[in-house]
Amino acid sequence: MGEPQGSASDLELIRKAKLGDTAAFDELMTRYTQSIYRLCYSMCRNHADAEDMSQDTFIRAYRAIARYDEQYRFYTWLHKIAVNLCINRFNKLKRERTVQLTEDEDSSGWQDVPDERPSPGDEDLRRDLDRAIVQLPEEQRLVFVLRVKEELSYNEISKMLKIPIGTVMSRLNRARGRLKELLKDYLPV
Amino acid sequence: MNEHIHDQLSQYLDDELAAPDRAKFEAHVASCAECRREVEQLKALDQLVKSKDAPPKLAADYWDWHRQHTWKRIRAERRQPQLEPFRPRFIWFRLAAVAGGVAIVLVVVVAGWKMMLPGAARHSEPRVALEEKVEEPAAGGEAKRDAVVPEAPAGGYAMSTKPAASIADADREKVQTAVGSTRAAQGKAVETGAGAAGAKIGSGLALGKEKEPVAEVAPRTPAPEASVSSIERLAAGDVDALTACDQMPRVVDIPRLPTVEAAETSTVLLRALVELTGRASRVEVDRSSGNTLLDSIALNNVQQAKFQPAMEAGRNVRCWLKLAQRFESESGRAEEIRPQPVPAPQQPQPAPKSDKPEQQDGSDSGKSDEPAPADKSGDK
Repeated sequence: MGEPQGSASDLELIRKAKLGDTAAFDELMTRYTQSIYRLCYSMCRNHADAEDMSQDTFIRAYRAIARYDEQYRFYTWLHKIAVNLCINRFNKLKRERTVQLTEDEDSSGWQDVPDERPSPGDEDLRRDLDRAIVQLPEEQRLVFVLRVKEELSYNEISKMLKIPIGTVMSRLNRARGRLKELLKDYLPV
Repeated sequence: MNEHIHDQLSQYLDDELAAPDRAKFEAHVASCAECRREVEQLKALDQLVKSKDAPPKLAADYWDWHRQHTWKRIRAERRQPQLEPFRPRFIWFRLAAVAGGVAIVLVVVVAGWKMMLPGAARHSEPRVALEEKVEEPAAGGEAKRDAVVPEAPAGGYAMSTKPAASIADADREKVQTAVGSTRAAQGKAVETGAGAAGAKIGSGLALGKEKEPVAEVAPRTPAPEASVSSIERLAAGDVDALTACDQMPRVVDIPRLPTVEAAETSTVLLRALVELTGRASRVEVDRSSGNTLLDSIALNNVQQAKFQPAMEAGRNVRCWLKLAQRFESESGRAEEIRPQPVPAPQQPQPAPKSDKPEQQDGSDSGKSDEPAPADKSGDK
């Protein structure tokens, strides 16, 4: 992820993209697509949604590139867009209550091409881990992912999700407590 | 375990405890085996998630496809911003806005009308009351009618809620002319329509006749042509008002559907207006699956599909096509789009010189302002 050595910096590409250079924006997409997809997948636990949300993130970024504030890192900006999209999606799901995010492994088939054969134990662990995280309520999952996987501080999470720091802490505590129960077989006794 | 200490576990692990609290916490953990075990377990949990939780491995060329598809969506948005996915939550706002606009227009029209008419109070009485007045003795009634017949504003509309019998001769003539021309126009519509179309328009006429005794709006401008009304109905997507064509459009290419976990098997019924270009210019949900996410997926998919345009008398024509998208609950995978047996085409349009559909999609034409997709399959 990020700027490859010897290539144009993110800032150079962003400035070109602001002037309408689509090749520059394409290069930015190439640099960050996988990271943004991983973030989206961590939050929604579903390949189709992660694919949609990561594409939506870049579509929004493209539309708003002229307003990009150069004092922030590009990834931070994309990250914020993706998290906002995710929050909107969760809110929408909550309102509609019509569909549940899958808790099975992605079953879309053609993309599912492992490049290394995991050991059976590893496979079980990944599946159980995925199922456990999926069982977390969305708001707890979001805070947990932002803290543990994205390593944001409580203050950053609080600002991003517009919730008090106390709420960040309580959601994090509950998420960890629940995961500890669900994954006790994999944790030290 | 001390409840206070327990609440600080996450803060301790995340290095978010202030120095004095951290020292206190560590002192407690050093002396409490239960808390020590808890801390160890949570540290292991974080480590597990960081190292093992990952999305499914994707094929190397997936990221190229992802990028290209993002560009395709950006182009589609720029070209057809009206084809946004179905968003039911905005519908109420839009309806409210439209209703508000209509209410304002009505208030302005009624207020303006009342201001223009002397003795407006009598006109504003309910229609039933006015009809009763017609039965009054001729002399008195005539005087009253003379008093209430308004002068129509020049260049505007002669408008009255009076029964036809009480309208002054000149005005009556205008009203009759207008009604007559409207009838003629509607009659023309019946003649031009066929099958279900004729029946529909006919029933519309029957309703019109019920309202006939009350002179409504007599426009001084010519009545609209019947064909305009048909076109408006077509534009409004009134599929049933249309006749069948020789050869219905066919789905030539449709994107692969994403996997969706659905609570139960369901079907979305859609209709798409297939253009001569082989693309659907409008896609609407005819019958929802009951799940707006599935509806939206089906809608998006049809918007991206490619069709063989319909044929009528050897010419390509625009045509509405009804489609059904079925989502299976077991696998969560949607079945192929299949056309329904009752198609309904739109009015024939002049056929292009070639039978080959025009290419409108920038990605197909090869002309694009986006860069050609290079082989870039990985984050740097």
